[in-house]
Amino acid sequence: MQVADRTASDVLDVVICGGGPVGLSMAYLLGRAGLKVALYEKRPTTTTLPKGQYLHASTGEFFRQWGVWDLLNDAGWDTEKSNGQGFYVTVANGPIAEIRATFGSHEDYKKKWERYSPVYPRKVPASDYEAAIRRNAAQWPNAALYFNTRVVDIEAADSVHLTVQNTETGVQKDVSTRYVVACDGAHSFVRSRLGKGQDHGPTFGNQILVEFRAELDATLGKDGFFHSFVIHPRYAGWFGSKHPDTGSWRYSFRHDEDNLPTEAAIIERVRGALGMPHLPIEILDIFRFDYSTGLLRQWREGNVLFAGDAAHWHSPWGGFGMNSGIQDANNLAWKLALVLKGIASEALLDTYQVERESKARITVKSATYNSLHYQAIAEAVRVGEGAFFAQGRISPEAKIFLGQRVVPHGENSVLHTGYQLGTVYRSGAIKVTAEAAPVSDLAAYTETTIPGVRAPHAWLLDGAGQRLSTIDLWGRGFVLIGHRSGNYWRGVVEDVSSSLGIDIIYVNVDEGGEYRPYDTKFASVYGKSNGAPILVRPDGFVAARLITQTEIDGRIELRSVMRQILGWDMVGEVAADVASVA
Amino acid sequence: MEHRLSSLTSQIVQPETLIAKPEKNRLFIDVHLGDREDELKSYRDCHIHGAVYAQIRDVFAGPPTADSGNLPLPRIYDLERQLKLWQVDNETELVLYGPSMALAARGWWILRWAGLSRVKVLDGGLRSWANAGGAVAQGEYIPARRPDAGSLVLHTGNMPSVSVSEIDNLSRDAVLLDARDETSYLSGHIPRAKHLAASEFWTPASNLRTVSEITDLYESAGVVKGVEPVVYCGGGVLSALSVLTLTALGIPARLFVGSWSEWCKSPDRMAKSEVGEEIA
Repeated sequence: MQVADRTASDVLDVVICGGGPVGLSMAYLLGRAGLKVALYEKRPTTTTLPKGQYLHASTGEFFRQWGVWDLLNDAGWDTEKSNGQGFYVTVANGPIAEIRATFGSHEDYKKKWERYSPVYPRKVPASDYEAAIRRNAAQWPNAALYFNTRVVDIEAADSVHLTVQNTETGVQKDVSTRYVVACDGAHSFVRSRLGKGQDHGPTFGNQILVEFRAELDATLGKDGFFHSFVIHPRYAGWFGSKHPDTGSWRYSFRHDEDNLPTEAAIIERVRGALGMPHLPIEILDIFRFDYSTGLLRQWREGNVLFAGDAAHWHSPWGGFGMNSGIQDANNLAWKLALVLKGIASEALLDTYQVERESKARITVKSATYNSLHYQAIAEAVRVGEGAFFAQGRISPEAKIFLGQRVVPHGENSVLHTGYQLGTVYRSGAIKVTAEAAPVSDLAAYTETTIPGVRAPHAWLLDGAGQRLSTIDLWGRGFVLIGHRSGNYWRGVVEDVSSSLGIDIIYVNVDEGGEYRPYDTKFASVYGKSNGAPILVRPDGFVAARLITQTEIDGRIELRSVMRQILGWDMVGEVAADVASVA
Repeated sequence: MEHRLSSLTSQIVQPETLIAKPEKNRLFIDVHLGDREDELKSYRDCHIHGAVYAQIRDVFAGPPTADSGNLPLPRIYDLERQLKLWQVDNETELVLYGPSMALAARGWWILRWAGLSRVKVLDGGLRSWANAGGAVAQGEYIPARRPDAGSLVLHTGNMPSVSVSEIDNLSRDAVLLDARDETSYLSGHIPRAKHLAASEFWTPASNLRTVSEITDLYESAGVVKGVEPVVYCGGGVLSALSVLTLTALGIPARLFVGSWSEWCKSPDRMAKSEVGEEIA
């Protein structure tokens, strides 16, 4: 135990426990905000595990803001090679049902998404996007990223004291920090020390994932699914599409034994699932995963906050884990930065759990539903099919039944458009209006600027005639975006900014403003509120619509809204009342 | 909840009662027996928030000897050391539960034997706790140091028990009960023992049965107020639940801790054993 004289300069602003996608995103965002940050991750480097590949459009939008999207230009799967889910009895007999993210080309797919977002959902290996976030986080001299370093002790008081240990040398070091963000995953060490209890759901255990090499381009590869489900009872499992860089394939199945199956047994099983009994197969790697489900009850213990899998963990079905975790980071980072700089009150931090727990509750339910729903479909399809399975096929009735089961969610079984873009926050950091925000839905997304929603995408043109998205304007601070009375609002923003000591950016989208609408989308989404400018938070969510009747002074209105959001004037109960009425 | 045993004694408690009344100086103990690795994993996967893990063989029993039963009494200083690691003092409310009510009851009996008074068994265990809205946790709970912890003084012998030699000389009023499953009982039991499996006391959902159900079970085995029950099982686990349920009904019972696993160590005693049904 070392005892050191601590001076204020030794104390970090934020320690981030865990260097997965959530921790790295936190480090990027807090580093960009100028805070003194250290991240500790026990692994030697970013992930190499073959999972977590689904990048939602909502995550892609942040990546675009952070310069990470461009780093991934050449990474990941082509749309044609990662298009939806196929169902097979065995692969050799061809698909018996399918769900597609798009029935067109990659360009069609991009075009379809351009309506909603400057980016589009993609499949990218976690190894690629983690490395890209890390690269951009490492550019901040005030953010130190320590890999091979494990947090071995944590004690929370007014400031938080941690002991970290280098996993190679065993050397320990004491660290003091004002805040800690625990991004240390489903088995969070910090949570086990400081958490105040959880609620659990089902466990999806004993999942074996095999990476292998085989010549499948003309068969499994030709169909182009991202996931290919094999429902044959003897070979039940799924194939993942060919890795864009390594060329390996994946096969996953459930194996309820303590020991891993032998390589010979795995090869036999893969061949059986493929329906190709003599195919040469080279096993590259075998993993075992157990997915439990849980939701942490309190996401803040004093100066320690929990994010990502440390706060909510679940099955990987739907690809929600990394995406919802990065949304957590994006929600928390600006709040933490403003509190640490003394611009916002501590109360702002409490809106983090209020806003993100609501999404997490939907997430754990959705992931659980996706897993059990698939199991229910597969089990139901199998009933009474014994003689057909023996011939490597299913009955016509089974095929019809299966087809009918995959129709209801359609493309949204794989896209979850509403989940990606339809997040709605209700808290003291949102100036709620009488108009109710759309109800969150997995499939459907309704575009609106009602406070609490993700500020929608619309294309703009800048002064140089370059096209950019409204999304590109968010991230670095509060933005007041308007399309009328530009000079008036510019003055209001300048006055309120200086009186509150916070930079608010004014964006005027108008002929003669610094931006012009690129098409009619801007007017149809942002122009609806009778000329009222819209205040967007640093996380890209609509904070308020500013009423512009002449008798109300915009200065008073903006100032009052900002004071509410920054937690200086509590209106939490008022907001909750409105929510319950809605 | 008047039909529950918990209405008769403070030593059995419903989860709702604990949830409604949080207490700072309360420790949950998740009591396990069986394969060490599997049981620890089961605790780590999900336990009551704020529960420590106790393997009976390490905490609520001492190492077996050539003559002893499988789970002899623990050494008091070992128990004291473990409880101090858990920051327990004489005032700590100790709430025991486990995969079966009997495991919790063994922990309860040993802690009471060691002189602790605020010892409770959670009716229905983990499932009933979660269903009542209690918080659970993954991983391992390490109680934080409590600078304000009071003292912990243990002394043995605070629960009535009998030794193997006393079993041979039980008075006429004593009713000897075998709490094991029926097959074990039929293949060999201590002379005079009547059979009442402790597993009868809990429902498939692991809750204790109602007061009237448990009263009926004892009455049919001839155990009513006024008799002196002596209970045993294989190693003093199932029979601890018999003692707990009898305590709730106001019938003091003595435990033969060594149980069948001690009895069967002696060929002389084994020669006296009875097999098959006890003829009434």
